[in-house]
Amino acid sequence: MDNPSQPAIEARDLVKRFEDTTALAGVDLRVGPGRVHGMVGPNGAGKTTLLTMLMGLVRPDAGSIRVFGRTREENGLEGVAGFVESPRFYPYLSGRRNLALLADLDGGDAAARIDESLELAGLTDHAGARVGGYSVGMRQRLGIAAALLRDPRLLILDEPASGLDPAGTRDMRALIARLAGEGVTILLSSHDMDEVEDLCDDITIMRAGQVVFDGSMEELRDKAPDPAFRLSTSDDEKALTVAGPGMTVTPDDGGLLVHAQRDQLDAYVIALGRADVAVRRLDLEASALKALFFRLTESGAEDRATGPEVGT
Amino acid sequence: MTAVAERTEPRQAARTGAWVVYRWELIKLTRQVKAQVVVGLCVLAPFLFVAALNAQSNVPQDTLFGRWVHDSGFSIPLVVLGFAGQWALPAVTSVVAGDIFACEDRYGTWKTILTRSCGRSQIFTGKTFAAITFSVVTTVLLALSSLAAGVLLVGRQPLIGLSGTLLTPGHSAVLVLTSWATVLLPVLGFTGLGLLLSVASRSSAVGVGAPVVIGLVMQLASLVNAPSAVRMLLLTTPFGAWHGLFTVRPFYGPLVQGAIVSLVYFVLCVGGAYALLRRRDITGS
Repeated sequence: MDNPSQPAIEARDLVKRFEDTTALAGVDLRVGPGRVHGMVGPNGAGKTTLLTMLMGLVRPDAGSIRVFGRTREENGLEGVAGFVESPRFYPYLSGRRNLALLADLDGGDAAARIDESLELAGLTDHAGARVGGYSVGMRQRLGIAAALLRDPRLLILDEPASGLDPAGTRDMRALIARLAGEGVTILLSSHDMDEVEDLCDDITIMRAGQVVFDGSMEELRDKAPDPAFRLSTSDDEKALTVAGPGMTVTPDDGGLLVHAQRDQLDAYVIALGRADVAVRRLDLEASALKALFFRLTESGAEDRATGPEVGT
Repeated sequence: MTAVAERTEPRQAARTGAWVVYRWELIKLTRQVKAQVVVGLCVLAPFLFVAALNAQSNVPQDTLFGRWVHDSGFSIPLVVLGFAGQWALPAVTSVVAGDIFACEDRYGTWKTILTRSCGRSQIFTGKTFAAITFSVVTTVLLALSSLAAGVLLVGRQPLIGLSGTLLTPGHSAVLVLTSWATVLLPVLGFTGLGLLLSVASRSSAVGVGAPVVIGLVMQLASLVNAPSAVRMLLLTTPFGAWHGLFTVRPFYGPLVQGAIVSLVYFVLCVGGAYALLRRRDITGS
């Protein structure tokens, strides 16, 4: 019997090298039960390696993984489902046939959940068609359906909205929110900070095989810098001199990059008008969280901003 | 009692998992065009071969029993067996054995099936038995079809054995079927080779093509007067071990040697494939 307060995932000091490339350099990850945990990082950060490791597809060179307190050898994948990178299926079988195959591999009552899983994933109407004819979005939905067959307590999703149209993305987010509401622990890897911000309770940010932030979304927001705006004016040189205290304005890529809070930005735009500088264009370059993400993942290692351990 | 039940449960579950994989591999094979084509060829090719022979007066004299193809229908399956042993049986077996693991790489489905409740050993066992089943079924089909083609299109005349004695139709039929049965072991050897190449190369082209090329190289090595010890170790040599059955005093030495060599190839190749799959990290899409 699992302890209900036991972490869904507890990974310690994971190391993985592929020839001369270090994919993971001592990664710790703790995902609390019933939490929606986001995982973000630039390409090559080690997210996919970590996810494949959690799903038992890649062996760590060092470190340990426990899922609901069990190692892989102790049936650690029981209650775990999901997909890493884009879900793949046999193209010459129908969607339903693929699910029937996977349900048989799972055993138990998984086969009885095929219709329900197809419906939840919004794929009932296409279940009889061969997967070879599916769009990327439909395969993504089938990946969700395949995961739901296992009636998971931990769902590991890698870019689940990838390839989906806006309506599909909305439905996917709603499904994730619904599953989270039912107590399913979700580990969500995404490039979309807005998606992570909307859905996740906790977040791990990775860079170059290391965790550079691990904590709750609130802790991340507290650390977030001012949002960034891209500004184009009739006289950028003069605009630089008008900048008020507490904000930074720097020349960037033929325009100006402004880091400021909203009220500071309002005052700056008014000041520009008074100084006879016309604002030709003003766009949000990066939200506060995106700005922090860029800072954490693009700056030097000394900026490491690991938050307190989740659950402590 | 409970302890015994607890010990036997995982083993039983493993067997069940392997059986599920095996069953689904067979279902998948029935859906694949390549498997349908190979099975169709195994059934039809002997009939087309006999029809082509009947349309001409020439006979394949260089092949064992080739000169009797118009005189006894029992010579047909033996001529087919002679040709098949050179390249057709390695090719037929490797169509599935060489692809059954590599296709998971081609479709990117390793991640899909290895994250279910079946373990790698169960998946390996199920796939290996499916490949063996396909190899055995196609070999049996080719044997029965060539025998049927000979009997139906040429006739049930007695066959002249290699010692020049006349063999009754019943005796000829038994010897023909026994001869085909003896090639099942080298067929298993080539199946194992296909499985190993399929796992090691992760490429269907290599898994399917390389066993045929290796078979042809072995044939070539036996033709250029390689030392008898080397010839004995070639996996193609057992394909001709049935010749000794058609003499007045049959000799079984080559059959025993061939069986041992084939089993050694099979065990080494399948063991190697299993070790590779167990250790492999599944990365990439």
